[in-house]
This record gives sequence, C-alpha cells and structure tokens, in this order.
Amino acid sequence: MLALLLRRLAFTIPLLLVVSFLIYALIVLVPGDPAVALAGQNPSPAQIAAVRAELGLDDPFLVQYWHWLSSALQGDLGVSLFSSESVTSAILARLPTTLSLAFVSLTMAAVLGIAVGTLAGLKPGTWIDRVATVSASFGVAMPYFWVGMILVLLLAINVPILPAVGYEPLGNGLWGWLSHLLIPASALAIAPAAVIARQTRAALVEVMSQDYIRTANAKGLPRFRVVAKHALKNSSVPVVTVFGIEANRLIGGTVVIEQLFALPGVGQLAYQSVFARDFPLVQGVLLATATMILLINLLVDVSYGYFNPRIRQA
Amino acid sequence: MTTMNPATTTVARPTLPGLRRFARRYAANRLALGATVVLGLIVLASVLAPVLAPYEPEQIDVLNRLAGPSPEHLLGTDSLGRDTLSRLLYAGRVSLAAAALAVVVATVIGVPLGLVAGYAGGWVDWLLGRVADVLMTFPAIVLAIALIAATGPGLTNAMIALGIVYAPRLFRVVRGSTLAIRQETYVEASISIGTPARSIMARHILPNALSPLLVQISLTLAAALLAEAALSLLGLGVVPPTPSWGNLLGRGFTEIRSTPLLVWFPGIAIALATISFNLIGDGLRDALGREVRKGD
Amino acid sequence: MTTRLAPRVSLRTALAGVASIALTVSLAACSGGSGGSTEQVDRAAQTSACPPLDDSVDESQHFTWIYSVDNSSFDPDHITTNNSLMYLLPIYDSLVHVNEKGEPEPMLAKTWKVSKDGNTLTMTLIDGWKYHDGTPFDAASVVANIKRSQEPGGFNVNALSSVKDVRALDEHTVEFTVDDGSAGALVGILGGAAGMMMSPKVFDDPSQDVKPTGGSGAFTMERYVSGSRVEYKAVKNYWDPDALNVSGMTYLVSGDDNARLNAVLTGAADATFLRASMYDTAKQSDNVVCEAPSLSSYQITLNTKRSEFGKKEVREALNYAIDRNAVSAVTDGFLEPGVQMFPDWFWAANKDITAENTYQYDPEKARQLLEQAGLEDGFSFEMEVINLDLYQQIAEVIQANLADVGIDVSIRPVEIDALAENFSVSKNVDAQLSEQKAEADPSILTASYYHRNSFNNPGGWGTPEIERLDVAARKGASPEERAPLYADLFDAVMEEVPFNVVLGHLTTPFVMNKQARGVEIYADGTRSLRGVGKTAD
Repeated sequence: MLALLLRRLAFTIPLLLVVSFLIYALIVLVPGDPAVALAGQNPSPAQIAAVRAELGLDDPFLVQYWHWLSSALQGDLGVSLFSSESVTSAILARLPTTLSLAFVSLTMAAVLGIAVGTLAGLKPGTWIDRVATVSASFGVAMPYFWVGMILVLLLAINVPILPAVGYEPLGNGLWGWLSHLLIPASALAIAPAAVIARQTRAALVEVMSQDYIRTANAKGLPRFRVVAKHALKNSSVPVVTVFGIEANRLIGGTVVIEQLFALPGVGQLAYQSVFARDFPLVQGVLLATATMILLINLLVDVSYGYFNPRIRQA
Repeated sequence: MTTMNPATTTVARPTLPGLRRFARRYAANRLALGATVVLGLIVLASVLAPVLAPYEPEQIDVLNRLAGPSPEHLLGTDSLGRDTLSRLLYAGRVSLAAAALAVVVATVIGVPLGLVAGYAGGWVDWLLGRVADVLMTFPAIVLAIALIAATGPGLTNAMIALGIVYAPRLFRVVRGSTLAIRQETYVEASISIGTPARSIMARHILPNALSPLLVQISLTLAAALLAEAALSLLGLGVVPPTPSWGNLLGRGFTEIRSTPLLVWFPGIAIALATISFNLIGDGLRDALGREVRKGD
Repeated sequence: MTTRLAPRVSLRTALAGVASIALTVSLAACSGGSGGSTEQVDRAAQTSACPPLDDSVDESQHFTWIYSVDNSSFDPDHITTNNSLMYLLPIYDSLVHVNEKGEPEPMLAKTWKVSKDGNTLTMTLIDGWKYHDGTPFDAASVVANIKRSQEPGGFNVNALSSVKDVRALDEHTVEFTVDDGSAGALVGILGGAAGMMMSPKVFDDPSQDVKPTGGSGAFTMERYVSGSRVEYKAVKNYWDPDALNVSGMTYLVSGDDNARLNAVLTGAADATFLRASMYDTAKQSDNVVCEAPSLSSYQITLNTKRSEFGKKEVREALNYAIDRNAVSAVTDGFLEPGVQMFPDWFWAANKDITAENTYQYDPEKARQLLEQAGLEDGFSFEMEVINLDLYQQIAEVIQANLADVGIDVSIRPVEIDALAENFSVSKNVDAQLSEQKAEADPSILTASYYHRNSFNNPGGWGTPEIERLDVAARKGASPEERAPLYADLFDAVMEEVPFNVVLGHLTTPFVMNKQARGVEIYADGTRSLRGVGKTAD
C-alpha cells in the first residue's frame, strides 16, 4: 500500500513541477513587456523599473520561476494587481463556496447515477434500461450551463421555490445554503451522473453474470441482499475511478457555473482574474487548481489500488 | 487514467464490402441516424444563413426591443431589437466554424505527433506521452482560459487554445492505433525490407487508425462546440457584435425574466448540435469496431 | 471493460422521446415572461421619497447593502473612481457633509467662515474625537491630510488644485487660503473624497489599501473579501450618535443584476439600487421602491491624442452619429438624453444647451463631417467598457450607430478597477464608456475634466480660455451667483467640442425591504448610507 502511494507520489510531484513551470511561463506568451503587464498600475518608466527590480524580472527566467515557486510553497502566492489583496487569502476565502458546490453536486451525481445505473443494470435489455441509457447519452452531451438556466426559469422564476442566483454561507442556515446551491449543483451534476450511471450499469451487468452471484441466488438469498452485498460492492471499483475523473471535469464546470449563478468561489475568481489580466492572481489560481486536481488523481489511483489488490503489485 | 491502453480495434481495412457493412450497421442505429439528419439540417441552415435570414444579424431597432414572436420577427427580438432568428442562423455559422477550427488545430497537432510517438517509441514516445499527461491534467476550460489570459479574448485565440487543449486526446488515440498496427507482421516485414517510415505510416498505419480517429473527432467536435459556447457565454470567446450560440445564450440569461425565449433557442441549438455529434461518435464507434476499449 | 454504448432503440421509443421533450419545451416556453414591450417607454424623471428615520428604529440591527462593483482601495488617496467612495464613507468622515440635496452641512468641521474676498476659508473642528488608531483628531492632522492629497498622482489633486496654503491656527482651527476667490466652492469640495480625514500615522502604510486602521468615521472595517463583501462594525462613542443607528453594516458585491435584486427579494440584503431591467420586478414585489433624478451621466470619454479624436469634426461626427434615444430605450427610459455635463434641472447646467437643439441624431451630417476631416472611408478605434450587462448593451448600440457612418468600434469589456487605470493613468486606451457620478461641488467635476492636465483628460484637450472660465466659476457665494458663470463655461466648452461625449443623465431607483429607514438617494449619485436604520423584525 505504502509502496503504491510512494510510486504515485514519485509520478505526481515531477508532474506538478512541470505544470507549475508552464503556469509561470504563461506570462511569456503575453505580447509586450511583462514588467508593464505586471506593473499594471503605473506605466511611468520609473515605476516599471521598480517592478522589474522588485519582482526580479531582470533575473534569468529560471531564477524568477524559482522565487515564485519557493514563495508559493511557503503559502505566499503574491499580491493581486487590482485589489492589492494577497492571492492566497483571496483563494482561501472563496474555497468554501466552491467546495460546497462541488460537494452537493458530486453527491447528487453519485446518488442519481448509482440509482439509475443500478436500475438499468439489474434489468438489462428492458425498456427501463433503454430509457436510462439514452438519457445518459443525452446527459453527457447536454450543455450544462443551459440546463442551469432552464432550471432557473422553471424553479425560480415561473414557480419561485428556489432562489435564482447568489450564495448564502452555511453559517447563515442550512436551507439558505442548500437552496442557493441546488440549481447550480444540479446543472453540474448531470454529466457526472450520466457517466456514473453508465459505469454502474456496465459493472453491475458484468458482476451479475458472475458465478458467485448465481450461487448466491441459487442458495435462496433475498435478491436485495445479493445486490446490495455482493454486486454493488464489487462494481464500486470502476465507479470510484470515474468519480475521480468527473471531479476533475467538475472543476472546469465551476468556472462557468459560478460566474453564471453569482457564486463567489474559486471558479469565479479564475474567470475574473483572467478577464482582468491580473497575472499574479491567474497564476496563483491555476497552481492551486492544478494541485487540487493532481491530489484528486492521486487519491483515486491509490484508492483504486486499495480496492483492487492486483494493482498494488502492478 | 495514468495508464494508457492501446485501442484494440480489429484491423478493418477500408474495402468496399467493408464500407457497405459499416453503412448498414450505422444506419441500423436509429439514434445515430437521426442525429446525422438533425446535424445535417443544422449545418445546412447555418451555411444558408445569408439566404434564410430575414434581417442582418447586426441590425438594431432599439425601440422594438425584447419583442415576442410576431410575423415580422418569427422568434422575437433581443435586447437591442435585433431579429433573434437571423442572429440564431448566423450564430450557427460562427459556432460550428469555431468548433471545426478547434478540431482542425487539434488534428494538426495531435495526429502527426501520435504517429511519431507510436512509431518511434523509446524516449520520443515517453516525452510526448508526458506532455500529453500534463495537458490532460487540466479541465479543458481551465486550460483554455489560462491561454486566453495571455493572448487576450477573441474567437480565433480561443479556438486555437481549445485546439491545443484537445490535441492530447487525438494524440492518444492515434498513438494507440499506431502501436497496435506497428506490431503486425506485415508492418514488421515492410520495415525490414527498408520501406521508409513515412510510407509505412501513410499506407498502413494511418488508414487503420482512421476508424478510432473519426470517432474521437466527432466527440471532440461536440466538446469544442460546448467549450466555445461556454467561453462566449463568459465573454472570453466571440467579440460583439458577432453572434455565436454561446453569447446569445449569455445575453438571453440577463433578460430571462422578461423574455425567456431568448434562452430557449440558442440553448436548444447548442444541445441539438452537441448531442448529435456525440451520438454520431457513439454510432461510429459501434459500427466501426466490434469491440472497443476506451483509449483513455 | 466493454460497454455497449448506443443500444438499438426502436423508432417508436425515439419518437416518444422527442415528442415528450418537445412538449416540455413548449409548455415551459409559453409559460414564461411577458414577451417584452414594443413601444417606446417614455418616462419623465420621477421622485418618490424613501421611508425616513423614525422612532421605531432598533439600533442593534445590522444593515446590508448590495452593490454592483467592488472597491479598489480603502485608502482615500489611492482610489481611482468615485465608485470606491461608497466603501470609504463609513470608515472616514469628511470635514463637510454634502447632504442628499447637494447642500453642505457640518461634519468634522462644526462651523466655518468664508472671508469677504473669497480667498480664505476658516474652519473650526469638533473636539474630543480620535482616529480609530487612537491618534487625536486635530487641526495638524487636517493639514497633513490636505497636504498629502495635493501630492501629484493622487485622486484628489484636481479637486484641491485651488488651495494654495493650508495651516493650523490652533488645535481646532484650520485656515485654507486660495487666490482666486473660490473659498466658497471649497466648502463643497471638502465634502467629498478631498475632505476625508485619515490618521497621519498610517499615511505611508501600504496595507491600508486592504486593512484600513486610521479611519475617522462611524465604522471600522472588520472583514474584506474582494469581489464579494465588506463588513463594517459600529464604533463606540461616535461623536455624532444621531448619525449612527445600526450596530454594523455589510456591503455585498455582485456584478449580476439579477443576483443583486434577488438578494433584496430574498432578504439576504436590505437595499440596493435598480436598473431598468429590474424595475418592474422590484415594483411587483413586497418591497419599497423609491427614486430620484441624479446628476450621474453615461458618457464616452475620448483620448484626444489617440485615433482620430484630435480632430474637432470627428468629435462632432460622433455626437451626431449616436442615437441617444436608442440608448435611452435600452435603459427603458431611465436615461434622459443630454449632451452637456449636467442635466438641465441642475443649477450649474446651461439651460440653452439641450439634446434637441445641439446634437440631434443625424447620421448624414456625421458622414459629411467625417468627409470634411478627410475620413470618407471611416476609421476604427477601441472602446473599453465596464464588464456589466447594461453597459455592454449600450456599447453595442453605439457600435451599430457608428458602423452606420463607417466607424468601426471594437468593444473591450474590462473590470471597473482597470477602466480608470487604463484610460486616465496608463493612458493607453482610445475611448471608454462609463458612468460618471457627480461630485459634491460642480467645480470638482469640471476641474477633473476641462483642464488640459485633468485626471479624466488624458489627451490634454482644452484651451486657456476654458480654464480661466472654470476657475472664475468657483467664485461667488451662492448657486445664483455662480450659475451664469457656468453657463459661460459650457458655452465655451461646447464650442470647442469636448472629448466627453455625454449620452444622458440617469434617474436612479432604489429598492429596499419594509424595515429599512433613512436610506437617502443622493442627487450626486453618492451611495451614502449615513444614518440608516432598521426597525426590528
């Protein structure tokens, strides 16, 4: 187990390093003098020279990168060009919102996906299965942001049971928090739910045809116990893997959904910082995102190994 | 996700009876067939936009803003009084062309590199594989907006960024096919008699990699269309006054309380197009190979 | 593992699926909204008062306001737009308070006297007050503040340009000296950002931008999440207890108009300002809607050193090419078309200059003017716009209007912090479309526009004559005396065709819940919540 973890870490850390280098190198793509882009506030030659000195832009690029990275490892990601706020504190302040959204969304996706997938997997070939599979095909392809808008129309405007946009922190009450998250989380949950449904169905179909299931059935065990105890447990492995992949995809979706639904999370911060060409903020958010994604991948790989002993020795 | 399984397609060379068999199997898939028809209609309508549209898409008529459907404006007008139907048609051209551009970029980058990686093997394969890993670490949108942060908004920039983002997918598919086919005996034989690599790739490998590649292209077109819509929705893609389905949707959302129709139409257009591309991709996958392992 | 992806679906199932989707779509589509209006909405500026303070106010309540743009800095010298002023008002008091009607009232200066020749202003300060960091509030600190504001590069340089000397006569008396008889106008000027008092001990502390500790006002800032919220806490033993009726305030930020309105409708916020698209929904809800015409204007400002804007014919052509009625229609009539800096009901406006008689919508005339300037084939420029929906829509109207006469405008949306930075400080933008709020005294605004070195005039447009007229208009003890001087100024300005193309002026409605009291809509567009209160739930 530990060996697996170490092996995965040995793979992840260099990857993170390369990624961090590319993130820092983004500034190189900007047309013009990076010092001007980073000075932002004042273009006078004196000020530009000051920024150059302060950020060490006269140093070789690798040295600059090293300064940025070493500061980042200590938790200092620099200061936003426009709000003068520390990048780290900006990200941390918004993290709870994004985590709330991701949590509600993945929970919905898992519940819906597993439920639908189980139903279809237990009755393969029937109309239930067909409807479920076609819905999944549609669900993966649907423009999730549009679905969110339609949900707003149906559930917040035509029949005002949920708020249209905005966010309420959990501290102000459970229903306030949840009601603001339900529509955006549903929009984000559709594609993962569809993928999870497919995986669950496929895994379940395969497991249900195994010998040991037939044995359990023949022994006269109640169907429910057979399904719950053996089938689901053994089909959970691919689902966990998919979960990890979908969690990554979700992070991309939060950029759009948070902006659309006025949720002050990291996704909205990413969008705003890109929009404002606020480079320290862009780089900081990208680094934080990359770290989170690689961490999720790591956890998924390790848990996959945990469930499937054969992988541990691979 | 970190291990790469080569696609094990049965090597089906595109012979004439093969094509007929493929066509038959594809046509039997009602969903895919329907999707092809729908997509065809959408593409046709977009191409014929200058003919079909009753108004110029940029023609404003502010006193007539946010009007409901009427004989003069079949789908109503938007917040500046522009005809929704005309904008929808022209937006189709923009969105579809944009998705195509992204996929072209992805193909131009991904396919040759995939061939090289699968053929050459060794450190070249390892290096390109790691680059693909790095790119695939990020969700597509995040990577796209990161590149746009540097280059600035604009449809071409956005689509080139997306092309770079999607290239690894095509790379992996082509690499997988190349690896599999390269090990076939007749290919080994060709290499041993000294046939140049270029010729082998062109004559043996590429035609056989075509099947999974086409599937991936169709799926990538769907993804690119969705991504363009998302970027234009956010204001990072198309620049006003050019309409695209994404930015029509974005503007429509602002007026959702007064004129919800502005949200329905572009959304349905995007949904139909992306679902169609997806179903076509699925249909191709079913019709082209008996067994397909997911390549990524 | 293998997965069978697209199963064989019978034609019947497929058709059933499509039919049910179509049914849902048509049901939902037909049940939404009103479909919009097809007639021009014509509304004259209306007024309806907001509920005033009364005895039912509960001082332990917390007031929440929600606004559309974020702050740029909490240091009064470092802000770049008076949108940021709103965030500073709870923390810093000024020497003078300009009330919602535009009249100066005592604040940190409890009395003042203007000398007969208009060259000296003597102010007596309140005593017994301290800055939030414990430094005593006294004449010396006032002098230090004024001197700091006059340093080049700061936001208040133009406003205080007339002040030649400022000194402390004793611990609580300050004397301002000007040499152009404008001491009377200085009173109003000291009611805005220029008169804000900050503890001199923290002048050079860069962290004041995000963590202000040297305030002089009724609140301290407790928490700031950029782009999201600012939390204020009431100060103990505030020198003016009648003006502090809550235990704390929260200012929320949301660029999305729907979200903002929603916040008030759901009770997450107590009040906000409205735009046209939100008005009907607000009126139909169970809340209070009140409105007042304001001095705020929408305008396009040009950098006359860039593109073709140095040519007078080009600037004129822009004025003729833009259909102000169309812009007004986009705001559902909340914008009253206008061509000069102030709306015609304001005392400092020149009543003879109106949208109808000065720049009627005339694209043909615009084309002729462009030809005269040698630009028959048109030209192109880039216009930066605030990244909010309404401004985007207005920008697209402008774009369409100008395209009709051969001018190609590309629209570049930016965050509000960047807008003024890029245009006025970095000076690398051709044009910007923005809202200009008015200032406490008209001379502040004219000084920041119509001098060749004005903050908002990066192209250096102007003439010595215009500058002379502007300075002259500061003299006079009352609006009646100064009005004809401003009329002369604007005659001269319009003759030269200014670099600010005014589109019109706004009526601003507010919406608030039934508990709110004492919210005032300021004529100059200041979003000040001084003295607000709430009744108990």
